[in-house]
Amino acid sequence: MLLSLRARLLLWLLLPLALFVFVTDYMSYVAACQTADLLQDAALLSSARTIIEDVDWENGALTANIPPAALEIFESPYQDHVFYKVVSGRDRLLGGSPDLTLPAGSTRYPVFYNTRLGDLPIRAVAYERQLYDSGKAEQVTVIVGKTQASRQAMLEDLWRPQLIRQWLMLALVVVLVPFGLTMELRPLMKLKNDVADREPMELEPIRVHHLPSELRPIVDAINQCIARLKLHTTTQRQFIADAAHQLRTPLTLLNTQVQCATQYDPSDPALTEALTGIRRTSQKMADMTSQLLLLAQAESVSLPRVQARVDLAAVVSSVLEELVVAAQRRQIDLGAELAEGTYVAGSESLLAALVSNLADNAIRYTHEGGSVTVLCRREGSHVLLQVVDNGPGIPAEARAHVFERFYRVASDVEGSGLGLAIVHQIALSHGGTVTMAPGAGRVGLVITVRLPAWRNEERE
Amino acid sequence: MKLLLVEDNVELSHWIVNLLRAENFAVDCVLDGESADSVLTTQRYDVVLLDMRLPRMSGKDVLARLRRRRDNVPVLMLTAHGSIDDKVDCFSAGADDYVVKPFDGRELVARIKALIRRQLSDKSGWLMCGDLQYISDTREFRHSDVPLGLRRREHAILETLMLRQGKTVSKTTLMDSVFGLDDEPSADAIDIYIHRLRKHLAGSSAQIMTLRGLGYILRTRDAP
Repeated sequence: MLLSLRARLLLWLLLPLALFVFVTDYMSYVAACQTADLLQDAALLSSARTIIEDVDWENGALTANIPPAALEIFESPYQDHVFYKVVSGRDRLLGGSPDLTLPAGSTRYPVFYNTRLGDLPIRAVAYERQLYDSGKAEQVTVIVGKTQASRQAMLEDLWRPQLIRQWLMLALVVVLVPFGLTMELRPLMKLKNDVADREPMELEPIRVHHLPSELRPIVDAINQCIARLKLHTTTQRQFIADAAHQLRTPLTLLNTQVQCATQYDPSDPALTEALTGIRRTSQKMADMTSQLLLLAQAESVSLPRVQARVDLAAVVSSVLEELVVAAQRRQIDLGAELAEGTYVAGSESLLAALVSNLADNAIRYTHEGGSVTVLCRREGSHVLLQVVDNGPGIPAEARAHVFERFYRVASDVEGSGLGLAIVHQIALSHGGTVTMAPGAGRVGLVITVRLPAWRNEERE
Repeated sequence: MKLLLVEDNVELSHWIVNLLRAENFAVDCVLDGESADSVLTTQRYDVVLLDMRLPRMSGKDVLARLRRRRDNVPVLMLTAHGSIDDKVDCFSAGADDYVVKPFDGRELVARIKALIRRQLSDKSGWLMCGDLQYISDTREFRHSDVPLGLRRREHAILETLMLRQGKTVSKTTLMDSVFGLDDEPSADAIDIYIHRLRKHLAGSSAQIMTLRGLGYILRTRDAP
């Protein structure tokens, strides 16, 4: 089973064509044979007639003078051997090669036949004539034969050019079909690249302009599939957002109830401990629902909708203002190195969530007394955001998984496990990338977010 | 102190009322926007807690009508969305503050108290950061009713931080506020003054925090 379209199409063309060429070549070979035989036979006959013209009575006996013209007729570059034999009556040899055999039966009319002389295959003609002289009648038979070299040459001249033309045609087919297919399959290859290069969440239909009509049905089918997928994904996201939203009210209720309970000065320390535990747990759930909502929000944003000009450095400083208390609590030296002109296109609230999640993670995972620095600067056509800490870092084998939802590197640190998934999603939806590497001297972690810089400077 | 809670979830409002009463607030409670609007035209409250999503009239509309009547009662919005757009909406509608559901009970109480304090300080001309008090008339700092003994430049720095409390103030801004034209400005000097100020504030719930590379922030110590 050949899977390549090219090979299969080539086979479809090549096999019938080759068969056709074979048959027509055979037929033209047969025709060429007939033509060559006809011409050769005509020459043999005219030579035989010339010879028989010159057989004459001389002193009451028949003599044969072979005129040169009778043999010159066969002159050719192929130097055929020509044999003749003149016989009078039944077997009186008047001249020529005695070994040349007569055909069986009557030679009243010219008889063409194939024979052999020694080892040589011979084509010969036998021609018979009655010669009369003073009441005497004598029957004279002339046989002229020749070897086949010139006939063979003529046959090849007649047949070979066509043979060459047809095989050339086949060769052209072999070359042109794959070439043509490669050229014509380029839209298909482009389509393949279009589909293969898509971002996982890029659910826009494929454009059908400039596509060959044969590809339209495929693209239409893919687009329908994408539309269904999009609907499904939207429903799914909406569900997550709704679920997270619906969880908020009972969580608020729980928080308030716990708060009320703690106010009744409990004499039992075990009760106080339980209440503190409940509060912590409900806070964790609250954080997680917020993160889930944020993630759903980040996933539903597509780039063309978020084209506001945002100063990333300003976002960083306002986010750090919020986080300074958490940093202080863990005695972490929180700082920033911000440059000018760090404008990107995007949604300010989502970018704030991105910075906040990165810095918050760094503060959570860095040991007490460590340091966390957020850097923001322009680098070519990108704005670079880096969060550098001197914490434990992330082992290389875990790095591939940290952007997955609910993946946790350390289980002893509180967190939703959604932080980096949110960061990744927000960076993606802003056309950016997130990478991570160990810090200088293999201490700590550097997370780098690269976002396309705001380009429409003149629109300010 | 009298509060109005506008919240359509009966159970939640019951427990919030419980919580606030335990904090010695007097609380009235209504369940929808229209009744909130009519109660607010007749009654006077110190703080209004207003849910965003309400039946019959949204919290935003209630707030808009309140402000149109030139009623400046402090309003704390309770919102179930956490997005910045939502927060901006709250503020542009005239809210004084907001909390995002699910909120912590302690946070709610702290924010209500802060709103009341801000209202008081607006009237009486002083600012508070935790238990650190700044009296605008005399430009004096007090902690537990005892004036802080600050030198001129320390005072200038703390004043700058107090007037922008909760916001990052860059070293350059602090230098501008401290040094006159005849002085030699020095970033190191600022560090020294901040260090001294921290000693002065050691017993207070207000504290100066550092954001390396950005500046300093005056804010209340986080409750443990």
